[in-house]
Amino acid sequence: MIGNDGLEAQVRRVREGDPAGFEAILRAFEWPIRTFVVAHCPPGGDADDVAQRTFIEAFKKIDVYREGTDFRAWLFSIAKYQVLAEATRLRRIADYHRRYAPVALAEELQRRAESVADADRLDRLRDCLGALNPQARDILGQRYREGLPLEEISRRSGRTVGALKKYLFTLRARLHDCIARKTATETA
Amino acid sequence: MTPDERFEELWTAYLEGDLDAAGFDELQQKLASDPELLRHAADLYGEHRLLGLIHQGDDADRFVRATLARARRDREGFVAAVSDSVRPAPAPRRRRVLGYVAVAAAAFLVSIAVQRLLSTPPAAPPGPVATLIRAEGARWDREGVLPEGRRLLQGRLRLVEGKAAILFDSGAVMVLAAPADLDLESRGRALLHSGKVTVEASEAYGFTVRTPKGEVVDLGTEFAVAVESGGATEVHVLQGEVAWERPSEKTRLLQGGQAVRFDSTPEGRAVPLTGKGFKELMQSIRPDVREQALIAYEGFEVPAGTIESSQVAGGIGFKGPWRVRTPEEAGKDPDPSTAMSIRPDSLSGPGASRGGSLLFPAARTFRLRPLAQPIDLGRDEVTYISFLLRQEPATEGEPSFFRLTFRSSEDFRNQVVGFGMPPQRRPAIYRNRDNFNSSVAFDSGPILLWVCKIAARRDGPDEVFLKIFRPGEPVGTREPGTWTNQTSPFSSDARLDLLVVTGTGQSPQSFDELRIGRTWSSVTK
Repeated sequence: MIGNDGLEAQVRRVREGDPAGFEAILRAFEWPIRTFVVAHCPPGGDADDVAQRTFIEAFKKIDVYREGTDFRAWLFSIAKYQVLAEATRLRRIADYHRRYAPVALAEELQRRAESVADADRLDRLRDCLGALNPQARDILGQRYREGLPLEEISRRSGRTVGALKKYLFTLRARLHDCIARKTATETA
Repeated sequence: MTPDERFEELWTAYLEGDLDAAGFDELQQKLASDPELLRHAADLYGEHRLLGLIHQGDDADRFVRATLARARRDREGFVAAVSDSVRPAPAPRRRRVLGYVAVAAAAFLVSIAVQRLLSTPPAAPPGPVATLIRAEGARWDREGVLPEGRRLLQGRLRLVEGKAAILFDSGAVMVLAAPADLDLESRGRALLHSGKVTVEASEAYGFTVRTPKGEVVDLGTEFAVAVESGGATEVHVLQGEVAWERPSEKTRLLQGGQAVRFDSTPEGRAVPLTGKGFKELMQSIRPDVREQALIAYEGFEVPAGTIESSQVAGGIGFKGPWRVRTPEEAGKDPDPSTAMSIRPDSLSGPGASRGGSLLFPAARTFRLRPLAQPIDLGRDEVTYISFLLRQEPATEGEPSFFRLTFRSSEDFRNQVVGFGMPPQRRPAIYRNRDNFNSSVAFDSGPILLWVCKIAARRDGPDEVFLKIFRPGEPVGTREPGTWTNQTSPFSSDARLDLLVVTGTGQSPQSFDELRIGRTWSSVTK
């Protein structure tokens, strides 16, 4: 991650018309912004699209960023409002809550989007994932990397669909507990 | 079952897209009544999405490349803006000072605008609320000629030439002739500034046309509304009845056969009923003939039997023969065979076609074919796809699973739009890693006609729709108001140049008569 001085230099490059500055900032903030957006984007929303819009909007308005202030906070405030705009857009779909998100969950996620991003959450999840056994990682890979339906994972893994659902719930719960433990330890 | 176990069951079904309406209600109730469970669910949901992010392909640079490409494409993007404003010509000292003042003033105004932007959530962009279903010589003031099937966003719409019919998402159909000026306010409401429209709203009770003189609210009927440039408004009730509403006045019911002109007096005056009926008006719109409306067709016109994929090269609109996946595309799941099984009989019936049909045997089959004209979600384009599918009822073993997807050869795993029939028999639309499952189930056994629509926009939301017709169900001459399944609006610039058909499971499946075209009729006639 480039430091604040380096960031200010990249902002100046962008203002002077050098697209390389755009790319440097994009690379520096790709994962923090994507992590924030993914964790807060309402169900049914396209997180990568929202993250891309964040960068496009930020750079369209780069001239109004006040040099010497907190660029990171400025960029995250744009990401936050892009997430909220996505939530507003989705709510206008007639049967949105019926199709994608229970009202209570959508509201809780929106409330969280107001809070400061926990950029370390992705790293903690990576660590916790690395601590799982290879078989568990393989199942999660089939589900999340390959996007396979449960029936297909069931066929490959030799587990029934019911057992697979239980196993996935257990794995997700285990990862959640692991993240909570790490967060408690690191913030103690 | 304990409450925890029930939550586990509901939550997993929710994340996997398997939750039915009753389950959805139950989950909502549980979350709404238990703040601790709600917080836990929100944590789990965030982590579920992060797991997706962590597993998102091995192409580390994909996001950066896509964002850079999008910035370049963006017409008002920063690159163009910066390029235009960079390196101003040297100016005399005095003018330079004035220039600084002007720049400072502009920056101040822009900063106020941005502060406002950052202090209040931006308004959501206009969403799609209707579809242009028919047009004859139609020209629109801002966008010129629009293709059939084009999704229309909320906002102003001015027809300057020709005739057109618009299907609102609520099910109301509006016929209009130039000149007409209206605002599409929502899926069930329009504001008519001037011109004449005729509305058939038997499927859209409550559809409202606002006018400068009052509002016409449909009560299950056909009616015409005309607004003159001075604001005088006429309402002609062709069938059924409508409510005429004005602020702080009692609602008035107008019956079929009644016509009223609202001009200088609020109560209006009766005028003779004029105007053609809705059906006659619809039939009078003769759609512009579009050349090459059918852009691809595959009827498997090859000798029946087992044949190498590379030998199946008939049809039109493809850049090469069928093939199996490359090792890179197949990943850890290589194809067990490279051949294709062609049945002698066409699913469209005897004599209807010269070709046979593709059989997916009791195995895992993935077959690809490159498209001559890719489906480009980065352009203003409407694409319809239709095909016939028969899945034999499962007797034992793994149930059948069919998918037809369009993928990008540049990003095979991540850029996907597709349609499928999973084992639970509720058809799905696939969009990258999102699944959109229908609440309607279809039995295996009969031949089903699938008609799909991909409505893409260069600047604005894209949408995907699916309608499955059962045997004997009328297909209609225009696209339906209600689809079996549809996505929420999304944004993508993907260029999908590969057709992939996939059949898995122990019971045989047959696929035939694939059509890809630019109009509803090009793929359904």
